[in-house]
Amino acid sequence: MVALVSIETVLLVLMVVLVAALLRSHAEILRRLGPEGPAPRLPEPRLTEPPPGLRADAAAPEIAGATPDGDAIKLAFGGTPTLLAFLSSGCTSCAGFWDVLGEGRLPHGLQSVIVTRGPDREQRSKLRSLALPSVPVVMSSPAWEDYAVPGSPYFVLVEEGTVRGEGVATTWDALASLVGDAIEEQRGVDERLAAAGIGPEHPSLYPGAGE
Amino acid sequence: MSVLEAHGLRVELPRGWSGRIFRRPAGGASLHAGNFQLPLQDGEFGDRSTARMPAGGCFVAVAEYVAGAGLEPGKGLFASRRIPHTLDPTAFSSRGLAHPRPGQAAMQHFFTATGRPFCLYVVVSGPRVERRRQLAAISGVLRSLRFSP
Repeated sequence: MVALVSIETVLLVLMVVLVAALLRSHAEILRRLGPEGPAPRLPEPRLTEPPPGLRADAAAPEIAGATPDGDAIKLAFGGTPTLLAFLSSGCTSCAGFWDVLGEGRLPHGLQSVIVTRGPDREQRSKLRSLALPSVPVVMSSPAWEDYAVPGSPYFVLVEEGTVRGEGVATTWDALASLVGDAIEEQRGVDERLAAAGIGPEHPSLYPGAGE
Repeated sequence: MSVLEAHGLRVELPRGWSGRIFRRPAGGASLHAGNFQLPLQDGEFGDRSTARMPAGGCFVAVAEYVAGAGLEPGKGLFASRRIPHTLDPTAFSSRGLAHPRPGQAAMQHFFTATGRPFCLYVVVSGPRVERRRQLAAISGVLRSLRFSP
């Protein structure tokens, strides 16, 4: 009887050890597959509402900074529509835009400028290797704050000193849509003004003039 | 007021002005400034910029020459050691334009600063009645200009 109990006890201990080993093995497999919790989701291409700090038709802040070549530049925004592309050298979603912005695919008359963080956050040599000669790069951390940029890539269309549109775009199609919407919206405003008999030189557009 | 500083040049630009200080490979430094939106790329004397100037526009270029081949800083054409801060309205004419265009007038002044030979080139556009206001704004920019070797 004692022998039978001893055998059962040994078998029970062996089973406990076996189950513990299996559980440990399972835990190790899970650990190697990834962290606990739901798997990270990659952002899908999308446009977002402008951040609350900067709305469409808000004044477009001037931008001053350095270029990767060591030049200095200050941009003030007049009649030439300008697409500001806020990009980072280390951002994977930005990667395609460094080239595509220099390919002349934007609407005629629209110029583009890449705005990166300042020299404290970006390496000039890295930017020189990414940038095309046809698209100027301005390094300016204050510009990111002035335009309330939530992250890169981020795009702002400015014209006549005002913001015409802005948003996130992670693909060329999304960017084209963003630019197209902003241009269409402005065209609609111009058409409504023209229908009301208000043209570019109409006195009502210049309050205070002639006083 | 924004400060631009690069390649031994420093300037303060008022709100509404755009500008740049740049240097091409094997070339001297250049400064462009204007009270309008400058094109993003241009030649030393602002061919594209002056082509876009609106009425009432001001454009300033300070272009450095490379010494050598008969050009000596501080001598001949570059003998002047000062840059004029107050510009003479009578010095402006269409003959001073590097790129002649209707409605524009310009002046040129060659000088040497900190051993570097430069040309100051200023273009204004629009009616003469605006000239006093334009030159006052340009004088403010020129007074802020600093050179280093």
